[in-house]
Amino acid sequence: MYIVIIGANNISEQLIDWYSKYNHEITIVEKNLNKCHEFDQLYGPICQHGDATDLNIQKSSGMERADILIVATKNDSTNFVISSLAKSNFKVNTIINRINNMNYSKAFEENGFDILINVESSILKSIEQETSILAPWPIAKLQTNPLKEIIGIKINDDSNILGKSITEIELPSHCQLLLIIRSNGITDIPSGHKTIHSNDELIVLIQEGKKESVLEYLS
Amino acid sequence: MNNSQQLTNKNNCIIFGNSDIANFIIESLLNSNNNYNITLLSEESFNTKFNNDIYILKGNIYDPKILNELDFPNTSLSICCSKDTNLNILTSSYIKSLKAENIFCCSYETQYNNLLNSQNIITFNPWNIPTKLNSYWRK
Repeated sequence: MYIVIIGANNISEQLIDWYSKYNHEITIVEKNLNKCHEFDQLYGPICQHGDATDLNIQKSSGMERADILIVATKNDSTNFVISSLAKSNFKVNTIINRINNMNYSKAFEENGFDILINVESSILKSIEQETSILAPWPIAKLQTNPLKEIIGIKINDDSNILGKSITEIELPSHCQLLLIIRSNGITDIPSGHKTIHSNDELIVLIQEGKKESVLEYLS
Repeated sequence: MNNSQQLTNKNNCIIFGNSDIANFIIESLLNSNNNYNITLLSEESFNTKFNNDIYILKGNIYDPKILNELDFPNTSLSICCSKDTNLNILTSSYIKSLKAENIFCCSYETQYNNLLNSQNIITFNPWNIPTKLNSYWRK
């Protein structure tokens, strides 16, 4: 795959390391010339110097053949313009945006930029997962009709379903338990007599937007 | 002008951002004899010769308190014309998602002129105001 990343920063460094392992081709677009040199020295010729809000720079970066565009600057309006240009001029299919102010998420989503990463939300989510009972984390969105998603839920000592067997658990109709990950990391296919223990993680298929009723049942 | 007047008049216009082009548009609307109620929202404090003729809000569009002050259903015209093109583009899209109508977005670069067409937002350059926009003040 060909991946274009906007912004030479810590996030892009991690992404280069990760994508390189799978032999994907990467270009970083960066406004700051010194940062460009720094990245080129570290990773080989990887950086395209220029402002990605400029259509010609996007063209030079090979945007027309990009499979994935990752826009990771700290400025929401810059990210929005870059994404809009790439989508309307180069028909990039997958655009991932860093969003700093979640209030703008509606504008991004209504333009089809629905993969939004908010650093603060991600940190809070991680904290919730580590400390709270039922903080579900998203795993995948499925393009089914109606839309469905797969989420993970960690069960703690207060849960309603603790000690119950799978047959005793009556999840809402729009919800299906796919997998149990035990606290020791062993995976278990949910079936009849198997029981739910504290610190189990449940992987659940639910209809999009109906998360709350599942959480209410499990809490 | 107070906010209660704003809420009752379909001739409301909201201008986002303070700039030369914003001042030009405000002056044109005020001189049009169309009795527009104009709200100017800007992130920065400033003095304007229109202080007594328009309603000025200082703040960000995404601030819920500010949003409560803006009444999009009763607004006939919204123009994003700060000095920052990227911000104008994002703000236009944002207010579109809030169901604003007749949105115009000022861009200081021609390469963005068609960027928001699919959203029915008209992007214009300050040196070339489209007929559809100046029809709001021209007879």
